[in-house]
Amino acid sequence: MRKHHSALGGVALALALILTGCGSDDTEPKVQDPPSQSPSPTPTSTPTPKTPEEKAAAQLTKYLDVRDTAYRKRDINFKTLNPVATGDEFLQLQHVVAGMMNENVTVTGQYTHTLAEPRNRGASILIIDCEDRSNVTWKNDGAVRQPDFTDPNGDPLRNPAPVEYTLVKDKGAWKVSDSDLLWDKPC
Amino acid sequence: MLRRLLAFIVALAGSLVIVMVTASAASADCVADPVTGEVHCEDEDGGNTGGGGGTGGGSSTCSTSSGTEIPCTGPGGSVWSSSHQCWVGDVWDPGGEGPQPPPGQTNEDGAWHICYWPPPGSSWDPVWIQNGTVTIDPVVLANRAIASMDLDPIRIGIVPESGPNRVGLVGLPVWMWVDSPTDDTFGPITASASEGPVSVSATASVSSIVWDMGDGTKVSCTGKGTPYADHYGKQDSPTCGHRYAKMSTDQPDGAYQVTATSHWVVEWTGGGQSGTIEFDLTTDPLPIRIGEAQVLTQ
Repeated sequence: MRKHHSALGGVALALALILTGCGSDDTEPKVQDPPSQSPSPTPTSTPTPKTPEEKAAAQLTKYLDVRDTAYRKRDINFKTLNPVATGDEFLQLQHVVAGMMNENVTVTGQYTHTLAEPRNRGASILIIDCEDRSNVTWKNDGAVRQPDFTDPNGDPLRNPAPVEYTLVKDKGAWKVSDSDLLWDKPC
Repeated sequence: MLRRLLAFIVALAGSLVIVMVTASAASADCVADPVTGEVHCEDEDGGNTGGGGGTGGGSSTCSTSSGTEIPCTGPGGSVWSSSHQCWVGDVWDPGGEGPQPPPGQTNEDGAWHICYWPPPGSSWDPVWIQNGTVTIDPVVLANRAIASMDLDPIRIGIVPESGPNRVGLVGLPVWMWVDSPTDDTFGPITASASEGPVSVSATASVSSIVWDMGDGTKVSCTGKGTPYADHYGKQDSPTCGHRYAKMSTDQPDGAYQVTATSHWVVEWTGGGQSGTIEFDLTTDPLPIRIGEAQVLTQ
């Protein structure tokens, strides 16, 4: 399992068991988590992803960073989105951010993403992200939404919740093309 | 005569309950809607996040300036705009007084709209759309036109007839046809739908009918088939027929369950585009009993 916070900004995680770090929007300085919150050894160098699975995982990490930043800023930075997303996911993120703008929905805090081992399907690679939103607050018109999410049965969505991402090769790079919230499965 | 041989007691078939066949179950993609907080799951075939038609039959294809083919419908029912090279969606309303109209325009002349970019995107800016120029995907209108047709599966015409006291015989001809065909069960039927400046006309007709005879045989027939009449005797149907090789006694309820699936083809045109939408409508099963003639010799 690979674990990181959402705004790491380009930290490759392929070979690390746990990557920590905490950042926020692109314009803000990166801040590391206190050591007490990250028991993993401090890496002395950033491993370069080599296998397709490692490259895909690294791309997904970058995408999640871009996505979470887009949520917080309610804006899309295509310079960062274009290299990591395509297809439905590319459009869906725009749709979500546009809806947040129009409906005055805001989000604060940091998601924590923990990636499972990638599954290579040849033309695509599937990776499940165990998404923890314990430190995330969603507001509608300034009021905290409780519960923040509800599953199709109307019950509070479990936390953390697994999300399965599909990555496809696009112009030589693995890009996130689809996502599926596995709401009825535990992480 | 065949009818007399096969049908012993006159009994009218009950009213035919008809059903529309829906697409086979597909795996569903689920997403958490950050706006409502609700988790939605949609069939992959019918999702609306990828720009497919998503309205139950067909989609149209548009082209980017570079020649790349993309769906004409984008996220949230947005519509591809050739002039802006993006899918134009809802009015952009970020609250407050909002952005000012461009020079020379007023809020009475148009509105800022969300612009969804196909990958790769360039700028996340809304686009100004003058009133009357926002279009709807013609496929959506085509589907509305189809819905207004209120199409139904066919009424099954078959000999031997269905009924508790009716039995056909192994090896004898079975005739199948469309009973009392109408515009809404066989076509052709034309309807139109419009919204704003866009109008679409659609003509639907049945191109073929697949008869599932319940014994593992499927018979595909074009046309309405030929209604059986006594004077045909033991002839085969000239257009749509079958012969059972076994009795139906080992079937559930002792009868073969016969269905007819009509394949509809809808040609539509409008909004500067044209296309074809195809779908199937299937009847409820009709039980047909098949027995064997016994010959007694002394």
